[in-house]
Amino acid sequence: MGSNILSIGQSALAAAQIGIATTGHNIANASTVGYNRQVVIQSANAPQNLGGNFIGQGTQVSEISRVYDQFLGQQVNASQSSSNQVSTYYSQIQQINNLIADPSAGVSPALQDFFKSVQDLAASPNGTAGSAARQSTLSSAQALSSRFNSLQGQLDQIRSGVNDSIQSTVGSINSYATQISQLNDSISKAQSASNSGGVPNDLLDQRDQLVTELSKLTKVSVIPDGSKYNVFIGSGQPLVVGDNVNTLQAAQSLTDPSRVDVAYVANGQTVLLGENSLPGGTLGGLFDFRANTLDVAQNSLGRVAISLASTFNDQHKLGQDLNGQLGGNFFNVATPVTNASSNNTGTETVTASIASAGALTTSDYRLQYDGTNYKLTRLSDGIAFPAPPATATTLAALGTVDGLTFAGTGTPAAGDEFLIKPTVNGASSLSVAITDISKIAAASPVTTSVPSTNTGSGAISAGVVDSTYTAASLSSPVKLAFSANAFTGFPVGSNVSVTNNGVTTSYGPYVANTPVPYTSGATISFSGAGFKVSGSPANGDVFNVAANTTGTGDSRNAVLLAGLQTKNNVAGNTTTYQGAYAQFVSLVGNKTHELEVTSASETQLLAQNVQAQQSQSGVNLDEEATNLLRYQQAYQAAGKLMQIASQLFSVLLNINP
Amino acid sequence: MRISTSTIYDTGGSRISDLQVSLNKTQQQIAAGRKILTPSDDPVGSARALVITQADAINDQYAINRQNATSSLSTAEGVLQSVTTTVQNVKTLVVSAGNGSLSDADRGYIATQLQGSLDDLISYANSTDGTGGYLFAGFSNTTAPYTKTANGAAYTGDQGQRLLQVDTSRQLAISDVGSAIFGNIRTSTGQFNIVPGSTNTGQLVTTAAIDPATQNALTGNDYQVVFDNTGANFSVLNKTTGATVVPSTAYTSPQTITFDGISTTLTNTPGAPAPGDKFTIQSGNQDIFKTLTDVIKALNTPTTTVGARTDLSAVLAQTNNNVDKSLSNVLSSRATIGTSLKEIDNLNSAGDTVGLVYKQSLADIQSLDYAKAITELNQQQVTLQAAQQSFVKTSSLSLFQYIN
Repeated sequence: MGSNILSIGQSALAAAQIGIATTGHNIANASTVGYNRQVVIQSANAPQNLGGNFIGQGTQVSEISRVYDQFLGQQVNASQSSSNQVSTYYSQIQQINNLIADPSAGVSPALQDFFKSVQDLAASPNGTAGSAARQSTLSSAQALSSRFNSLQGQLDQIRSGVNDSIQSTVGSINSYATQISQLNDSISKAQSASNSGGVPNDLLDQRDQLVTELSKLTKVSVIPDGSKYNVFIGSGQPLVVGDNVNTLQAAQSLTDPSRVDVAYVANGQTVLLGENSLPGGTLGGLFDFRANTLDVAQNSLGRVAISLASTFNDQHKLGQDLNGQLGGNFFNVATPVTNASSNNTGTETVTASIASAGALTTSDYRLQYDGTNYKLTRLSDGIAFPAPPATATTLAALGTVDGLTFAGTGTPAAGDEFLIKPTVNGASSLSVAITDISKIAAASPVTTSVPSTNTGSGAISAGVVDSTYTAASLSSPVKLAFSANAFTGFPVGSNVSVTNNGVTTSYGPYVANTPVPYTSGATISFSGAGFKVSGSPANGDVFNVAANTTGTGDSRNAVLLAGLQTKNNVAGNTTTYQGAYAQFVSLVGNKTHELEVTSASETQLLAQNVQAQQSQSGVNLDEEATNLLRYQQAYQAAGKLMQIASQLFSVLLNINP
Repeated sequence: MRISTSTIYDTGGSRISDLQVSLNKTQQQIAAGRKILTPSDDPVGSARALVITQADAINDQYAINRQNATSSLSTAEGVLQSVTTTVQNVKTLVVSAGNGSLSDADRGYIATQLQGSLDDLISYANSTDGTGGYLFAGFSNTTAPYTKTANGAAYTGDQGQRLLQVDTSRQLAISDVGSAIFGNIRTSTGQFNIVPGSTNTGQLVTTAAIDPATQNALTGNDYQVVFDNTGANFSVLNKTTGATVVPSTAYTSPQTITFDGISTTLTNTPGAPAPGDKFTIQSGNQDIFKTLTDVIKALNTPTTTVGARTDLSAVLAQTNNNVDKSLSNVLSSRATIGTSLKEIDNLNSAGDTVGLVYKQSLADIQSLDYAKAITELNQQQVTLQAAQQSFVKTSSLSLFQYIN
């Protein structure tokens, strides 16, 4: 009897001890990350049948279990993944956002300074004031290009930062995968060692925490297999299967050596994973940022630089410098980058050239050869050129796509692939081509005049030239003689045309003494030079068109160059340089703003999920204090019980019959 | 509902941190005076601000261009004012030279004065702007446009007009070419002005035109066709240089002769030329310098014969006409400059207004409303303080405090 009571007391004492220990464990781990509170599950021992009566046999601790909800855990992991993806993207794009934040820095003021100096050049193209204006044009052009260069340099730094982050993230993923597989092993060993079916709660916590950490890096799905976790990433690539780990590797992109991608190593084979196949987490955020913002930002900036440089060059080449030479290139313009895939088997090298800078887009292009036909895909929207069902069997047959033309040398093989990045180096390669201030072509190469001997009222406009004008076009002055309402005297063999109200009539190649009818106000052109004669010329009147040999005070071309500032020369000729730069700023600003909002809401969602999980599994110290008191009292009561049992026993022993 | 102790700390901490972030942002806005700190604060506003900034910068640049134009035009106007005075003086002198009571010596004094005026005019025509560029040389503004010659002055400038962009769609000429101001005196409707000698008695008529084949040989000099004392032969001499261009040649009507790019036809209409008849061939379009040189030469020629006296009157009459035309050229050029300056004035006030609008729009987009921002700062400060105090209070509540 007494021994029975004693053993009941002893079982209660033991249970209370375990209770106090578990409560202590909870208190100790109140701030341990990933810790789930543990509770002691007590049950009554099987009763003893004594003469038909079942007498209680005390208590036992049937299980120490952790309060863990699988569903809540998965929710936390999922929102951890998407929240981290967005916040990574957000923190990366903020670098660009801050880069262009200051309106007095950036490209915009440099652009305005540059055109301001060109305007000043138009006011004083020569003499002492001219030298100053020319020098300032050159310096501000250099300042502008170095502003582009430095902005691009900063974007490049961000890009190499992204590469580094991808590498270190891949390293962390591998390390977590290894730890999970080791825990898989430990847990299964521990569980099989327990004869009562107990579970190693703290190891489970650790493993779940590792999965949560992994979810921060990339999106994972976990499929439990017995006591082990199988972990899958991306589009179902197994990362951890039981005790085995398939590692990831940072690898070079096939078509772009400067781009770090992720490869999956399984069975000794390395397979490059597409950026889209690894969504979520830090990795997904980095990929998103690189593809959707960094590339576009760099291309947008490059496009502004290329459009500016090529349209300025084009106009500059129509002018004449102080030495009487036709203008050359003012800026050095970047050429499109073409990378052949490292898997290519053919020998063809492809070059892309810019035919029309105004038509450039900010997209990159993929060129594929299937053995017969070439296909060009614009990556921003996936549109193929030539539009099916048309095909292109040669690169030339692709024609001009978005301002680009293509040429190649060597022989392509079926399956060859090239990545074409037209504007990626636009901002980094921008530089000023001329160093001599006298080489700035502020003047126009033609002059027109009427001799004082003319008796009619005919007036000739100052001439303009187009890109077909060469120094040889007006090697000797041209005297156009007016008689019988027509002109004669054009250079023999030149293509003479007259444009009136948009209608062009051609009279060339010119045969000596052929009359070209006169219409007042019509534009007459030959050999790339154009002018208008208006009024009523008299028979015998002469109009002179000649090369501009002495007119250093001429600033007609500088006026036209300055006018480029407000011309729509970018993005399919829809906007100005500044407008395109503003689009770039707005693109970054909008995306950053969007991410700011999404990141806040994702963080909120994550906080709610964590809170929901914590409200179940987290340790509440007040609760533990209560439990501590409860188990303390249970322990004291059990002790009292054993004392009573012992007293009962001595009562029996002390009976003196 | 349970709450874990770490949630209490986590949420309390993150709320306080959020409040600190927004407090810091308001503080930064106040420090920078800008509503938009980064483009993400207002993407559309930032892009618009960039576009407006450029429009404003261009507007400012147009104002500078207008200043440059004003300075060029004002300099030209100043010079042309002096030119006007000089030409008016010349006219007075020419009129006074017609006074029949004057002696050759008196006319010589007038010629000397006119010589001074001629030199003045040439120096005016070669005026420079503040930076050493010649005002009336067209595009060739590094070399003096007029060089003095025996015949007056030769124009070496070109006919280019320099333009400046003074407004979005307005280019204004900031220079006038010398040939239009000082030349452009039409003395005949034809290419050449044929002046029969004042003492001619024959009925021969002379016409002249540019010979297209030899037009490059044109000199701009004056020529004279002179019949000898028989009336049967003629010769042509270059009046400016004194050289004989066509030696004595027998005359048959009609006769065409070509020299120095001029093709002259002599025709009996119906009568023949009289002995000693002469015809002067001048260019139909001359400049003020040649006019003055001619009149100076005429005034310096002694008027001993009746013929010489009539010649002088003819020259004086023509000079009078030419000076009037020249004056009208100068005045019309000044009128153009005046109109341009007036237009610049108008554009200036329009540009100022537009500039104000741009600056206002920029301020609307970018600038901070300080009253609002400071109110917000105070509010955020109060909230943060309350959050901190309440957090300290609630987090210090623990059951363990009561367990002894």
